[in-house]
Amino acid sequence: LLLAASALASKPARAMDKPIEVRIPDCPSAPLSLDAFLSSLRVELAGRDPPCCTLASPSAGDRDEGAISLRVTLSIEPCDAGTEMVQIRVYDSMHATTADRQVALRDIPSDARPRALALAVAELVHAVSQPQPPRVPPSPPPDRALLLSGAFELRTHPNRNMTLWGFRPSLEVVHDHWQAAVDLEAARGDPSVSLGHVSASLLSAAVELGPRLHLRHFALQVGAYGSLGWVWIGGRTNDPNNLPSSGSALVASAGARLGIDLLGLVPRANVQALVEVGSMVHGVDATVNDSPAASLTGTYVVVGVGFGTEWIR
Amino acid sequence: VTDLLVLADVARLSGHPADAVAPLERILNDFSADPQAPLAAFAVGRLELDALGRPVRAAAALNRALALGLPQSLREDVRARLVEAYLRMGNRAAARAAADAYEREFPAGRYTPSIESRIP
Repeated sequence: LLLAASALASKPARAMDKPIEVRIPDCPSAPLSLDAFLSSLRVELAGRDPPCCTLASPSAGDRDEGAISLRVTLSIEPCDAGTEMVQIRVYDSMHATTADRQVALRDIPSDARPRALALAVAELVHAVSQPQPPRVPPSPPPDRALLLSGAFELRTHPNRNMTLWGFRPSLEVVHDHWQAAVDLEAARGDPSVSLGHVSASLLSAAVELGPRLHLRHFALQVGAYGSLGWVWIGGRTNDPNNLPSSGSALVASAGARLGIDLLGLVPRANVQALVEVGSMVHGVDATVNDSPAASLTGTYVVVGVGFGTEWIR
Repeated sequence: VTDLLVLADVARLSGHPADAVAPLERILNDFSADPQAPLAAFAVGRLELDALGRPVRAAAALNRALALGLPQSLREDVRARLVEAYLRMGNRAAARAAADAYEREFPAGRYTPSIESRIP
């Protein structure tokens, strides 16, 4: 028994074993009985940790904070019977937090004031002892937007002697990590052929669908791309022995597109760059002497740069 | 009323919170006009909620405290405790209604963050 008592006595005190310290003002005349308040506080805090209570002088200072778990300080200013407001402060030494509240006494009969104040203090102690609610980070705005953009592009068909310059306005719907876009494409080129030039004009519409990944300062899009359009091709020559002709035809293509949007350079706008690689599903050849001289066929590559702006979020 | 309060206090200080309920409820039933009655109702609510784990009885006592004219300084605590009692009962609709009542009466109340974290 002696050994057990000794072990218990030498056990280091946990914070919750340390009593609540109560500091009550030294008022010669107060608006309530402070002794009755202390008795009521012992009742209201009975059975809970930390235990209630040790009294300390209001001028004790903060020297021995390790010896307490909670400190309750009452302030009555001015310190006389007519004062109708009591300031309560609870200091939690474990979490180094402080909570304050005021208790108005004017609507409390004098014989009920000690218990009312004890209840108020007990509730403040209860609130301080509760785990603080986790800070919920503000949820980001829903990533749903309608974007308008326009890009200047260079379109080339390697080994087909066809390079077009154009402009591509686009309407993009972004939802979470997906993007769908509708593009218009207007492009024109004048490739040289053996007898002169071929003038090609392309007007097409396209749809794109694919994932859009938001990274820190940019968004990356990868999409499947399909377009349908019309091309006008005409020949021009300075050779009077040859007769140029012209025509138009449907063109269709499918491909993949990689786009990068640089965000935040301008408010509500971004800088865009795109690379598109695809193949003509239905193309057109410009022939000179029955041989293909320039073609909107085969594989193509489009590179472009432009600007986009958020239209609706 | 004083004797009943002393009985309840002795029970609580001696570690018998369940025995404190009867004298406090006697105050509510027999001396409801006494200035200590709303405080007794609040004390019953706290006992039922914290010491006895009976949130249904706690909610009834806390509502009684409001009805008996609790001092203004304690109304905010009781409103917040009602939210807690209904949540512990598992009655989210009542907890939501109690939270709305709290926010109407105390729009910038000190329990608002705690209530909002529990009833988003």
